[in-house]
Amino acid sequence: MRKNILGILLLILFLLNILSACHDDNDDYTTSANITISVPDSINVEKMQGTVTVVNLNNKQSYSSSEFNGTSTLIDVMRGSYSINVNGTVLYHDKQNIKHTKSFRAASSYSEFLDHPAKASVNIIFM
Amino acid sequence: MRKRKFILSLLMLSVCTIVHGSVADTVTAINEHNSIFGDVLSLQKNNPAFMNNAYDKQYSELRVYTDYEKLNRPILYELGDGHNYAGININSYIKLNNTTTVWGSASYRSGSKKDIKWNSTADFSTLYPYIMGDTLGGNLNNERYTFSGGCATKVGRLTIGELIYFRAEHEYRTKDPRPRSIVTDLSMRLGVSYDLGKYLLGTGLGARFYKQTNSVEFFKEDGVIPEYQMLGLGMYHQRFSGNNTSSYYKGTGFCYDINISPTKKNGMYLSAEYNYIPYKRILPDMNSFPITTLYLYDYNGEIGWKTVQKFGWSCFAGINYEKRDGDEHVAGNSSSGEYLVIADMTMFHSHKTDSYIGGALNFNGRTQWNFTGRIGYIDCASNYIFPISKMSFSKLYERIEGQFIGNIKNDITVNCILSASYFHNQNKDITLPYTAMDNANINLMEYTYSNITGNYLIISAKVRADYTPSNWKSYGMFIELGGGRFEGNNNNGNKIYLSTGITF
Repeated sequence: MRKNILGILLLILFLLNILSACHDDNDDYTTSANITISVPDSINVEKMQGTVTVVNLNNKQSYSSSEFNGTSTLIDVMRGSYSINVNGTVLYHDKQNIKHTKSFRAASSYSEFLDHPAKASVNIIFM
Repeated sequence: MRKRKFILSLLMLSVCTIVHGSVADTVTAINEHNSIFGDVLSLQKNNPAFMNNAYDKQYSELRVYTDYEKLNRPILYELGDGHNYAGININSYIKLNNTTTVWGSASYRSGSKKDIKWNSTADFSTLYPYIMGDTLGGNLNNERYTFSGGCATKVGRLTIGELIYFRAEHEYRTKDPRPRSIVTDLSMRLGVSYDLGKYLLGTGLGARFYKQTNSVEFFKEDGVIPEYQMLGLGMYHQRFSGNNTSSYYKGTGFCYDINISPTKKNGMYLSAEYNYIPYKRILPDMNSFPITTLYLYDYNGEIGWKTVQKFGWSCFAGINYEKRDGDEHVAGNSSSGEYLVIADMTMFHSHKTDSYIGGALNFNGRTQWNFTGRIGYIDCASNYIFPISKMSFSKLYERIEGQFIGNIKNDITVNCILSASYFHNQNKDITLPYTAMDNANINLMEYTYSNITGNYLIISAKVRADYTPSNWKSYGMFIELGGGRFEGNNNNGNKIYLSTGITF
């Protein structure tokens, strides 16, 4: 009889222990944000230089990068929602193969960087 | 007003119920229910099934009291530097018959908490770090009502116990900034124990339902100051702090326990208890956006031996472990003022461990002498993920307590308690992201760190005199005076407690 009761109590404790494992840490904190500057099909970018700044909308933390790979840049950020600002200069040639150098800006007031990697694209505005 | 009348009628009802069940042997009951030796190894009393034989004598007490405490400066800004309360309590423990015991309490307390800063939310100790706060603060008025009732019934070898506890609290300030917090807190527990002969073996389950509405208003023309939605270790939510001066907390939790205790009080005690409750903080002005969730875990365990005779003794060891995990819910884009949760991140972790060993002695003759002592080690650590902030400390502490209970005259029993505790800090460490913090927040954290990592000496004394003349039958009255002194590296202060009441 005593063994049965002890067994039942241990079983109850075991079940309660399983129940108590309620919350796992959400520890997926960072991601790589791949930000691409979209350019019109009519131009062919040879080189892009500038600064990409992303600001976390919730904690206002900002991250910057000046390393372009073509028209894209990669920044390690905390996952979340961001605003994007890009200022720079682009060297391109048009369909007539004439080279141009122009300053540009690109911006987005809201982008989500959640996936791995997270992708965002902003349209170029020539100055 | 209507609420107060309701409480007073409940108090009167309790008195009427209790008087019916009183016993003649009041002095023995007073001694039993106020003995510090009786409080040793008492964790199993949280399970209502173990209340059936928690005391041999039934006892009821109605008291009015004033409680005053003042420090030269606060240990934590959020808790203030003192309080001034007056209140009324009624407690009762009645054995209806050989198989059924009922107990209950009702209380009302009113007063003020002094010089609180960085905290506009009630129940800071529970909800930390997810509170709302500002840099100005001030005194806070506080009103608290509590009710509890329990019943334990023995059926054969099985005892079934139930307990319900309710607390309502109202905290407010009548000067800018004007916070108002209204708390309702309901707990229920169900326990069973089985009589194995020499020992009782039992387990229990419980549920807790917590709600708090919290808001801050500014009425003066001088303007407003920002209210910060705090996130832990001095960090605050940059996006939703400032004008968001309302929040709403709700939590539904559960607890369970397992206990072994001797049937006749002599023998081994083993108790383990687990409490879990997640508190969600919601911003009503942001279309009920759930900004954070605090997962609060409490583990308590105690093991020991107690011998209750003419010369009683006890030795025990225990551990209390509290863990806090804080999830921040990341807000997405606002669509018509509605924010979607796009991700959850556990940004705050903290733990506090208190491990201790101790012993107690009890000499029972014409007078009763009790001594208890414990040595313990407290280890605390908190960290915030990004920007990286960490704070930790550990303390070694010793506590001794002595009690004398004796009749100085036929009708007068005196109960004196003296206690002293010393906490000395062993290790401490802090890492703060100074460049990412405002000056006010740096001051908050540095002040907190320097005070909680200090050494403290706490001395307290209490004298209680019970007057129980034989022609009053089972009634008696008492007067109680208590005081204490707190001495820390940076803080010191005094505490005075004065109470009077009747026993029956």
